[in-house]
Amino acid sequence: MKRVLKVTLDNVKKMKEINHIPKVLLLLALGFGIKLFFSCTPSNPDPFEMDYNNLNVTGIDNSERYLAYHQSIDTLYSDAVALKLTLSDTSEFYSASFSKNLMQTMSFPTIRADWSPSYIPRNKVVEIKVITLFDVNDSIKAGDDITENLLYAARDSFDLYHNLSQGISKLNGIQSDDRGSVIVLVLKVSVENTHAQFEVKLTIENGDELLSTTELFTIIES
Amino acid sequence: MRLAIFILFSLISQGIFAQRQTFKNQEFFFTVGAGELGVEKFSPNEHLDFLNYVDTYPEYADFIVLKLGYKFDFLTKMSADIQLVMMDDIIPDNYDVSVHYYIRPWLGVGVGSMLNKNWITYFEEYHIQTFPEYYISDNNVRQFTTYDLGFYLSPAIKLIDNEIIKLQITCDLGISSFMKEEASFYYKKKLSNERMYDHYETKIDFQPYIQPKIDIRLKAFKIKEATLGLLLNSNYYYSKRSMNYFRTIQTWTVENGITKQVEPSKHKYSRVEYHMGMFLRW
Repeated sequence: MKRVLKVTLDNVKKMKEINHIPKVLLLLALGFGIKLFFSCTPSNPDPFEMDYNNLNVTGIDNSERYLAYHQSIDTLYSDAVALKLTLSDTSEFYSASFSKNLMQTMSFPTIRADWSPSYIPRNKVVEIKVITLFDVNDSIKAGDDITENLLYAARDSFDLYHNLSQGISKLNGIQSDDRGSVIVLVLKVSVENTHAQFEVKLTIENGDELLSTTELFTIIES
Repeated sequence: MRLAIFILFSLISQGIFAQRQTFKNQEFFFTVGAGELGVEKFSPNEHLDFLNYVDTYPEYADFIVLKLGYKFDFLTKMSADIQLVMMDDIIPDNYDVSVHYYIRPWLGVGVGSMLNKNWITYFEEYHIQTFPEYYISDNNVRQFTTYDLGFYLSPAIKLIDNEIIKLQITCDLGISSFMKEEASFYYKKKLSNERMYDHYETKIDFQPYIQPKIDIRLKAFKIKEATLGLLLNSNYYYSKRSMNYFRTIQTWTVENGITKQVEPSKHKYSRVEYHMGMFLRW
């Protein structure tokens, strides 16, 4: 009797194990189907709209052969004053990146590898104004507008500089990968002072103004 | 260039396949030779002088030359000489083509055209020496190839002309010019934001030259109507040359450009070549 009971229990256990296989297969099929669905969902080629709401200005070194784009410094050469303007949209940071990550997680990587969102500002930058907070030389005093003495340096290029209008166009164009844009402005004139500090004001199409003041730079003679 | 090569091949093909009846004393030849450039050098001054950078290593033979040629007589008193010239790179992009009319069996006058390749190398050195306070955008060696196109008149004298030996001297009197080339540099001033762009565009400017040539053909043996023989020739090119150009300098932005025409001093420019090879005449 005991033996018969044991055999019966074993059979029931085996049947239960057998019954799990279709469930597992069903789950795998479901997972595959979901991934396939998202993989086949056409990615949105239109850039996401963003609103610039943050401006950060730092000093960078342009005294060597190439612009040290990724390194902020507080000591600048008198003939090599360069400012890096970083405009960003911090208000909707998570939604877009979440959407991007979700799509990448739910899709087959080989199909979705090239999917990366791009962004475009909803309201364009219309003006950049830079005020010096210290005397630059005998003719440019503290409080003066020095915008005319600034040029736009294209990133990763040894090309000549461009007028500020091209820098504004860069800010207003489609930005890839990041909800923000960066431009570098260089000063054409030599700073004949031991310190320098600048206030940068950006005017947006909708009337908003973004303001940022650089840290106090120590100037050493070139 | 392609057109010139096409014309040469067309002429050769015509000579082989179409004009057997009209062409006489047809001859194929090839020679291997060496050449040596002699270019007077000047100290660097206000403007770049490209000819200072032609013969970079004067202590070595400057180039090896391989010539393939086809020569034939036609219309009783006319003779044509077509040569494709290859230098070290084995690219047939140089030529020397001439046609002579023989007033007397020993005296002729001809016209021709030639194209010679020159390499201008290491001219970034000028900027490194002249503008030490500037960086150049990269450290690459700068080089460009410039072709020297010439047209000439060519009196010819056959000093010896018999079955065994033929000795001819010609003296090309012509004008030649370097073809247009471009070069540019980006600079960045050290410890400064200043950037500069320097653009050079050479201009066509024909200048006179003289090039005496000597050509000796020695018969080795004859098989039926074909004669095989040894070929020796040499030529010496001499001119006073300058490579003139337009220079545009832009500072800070592309809007700030100034263009000026530069005519560097003329250099004594010579090239001597020695060749040896074989010919097959029929």
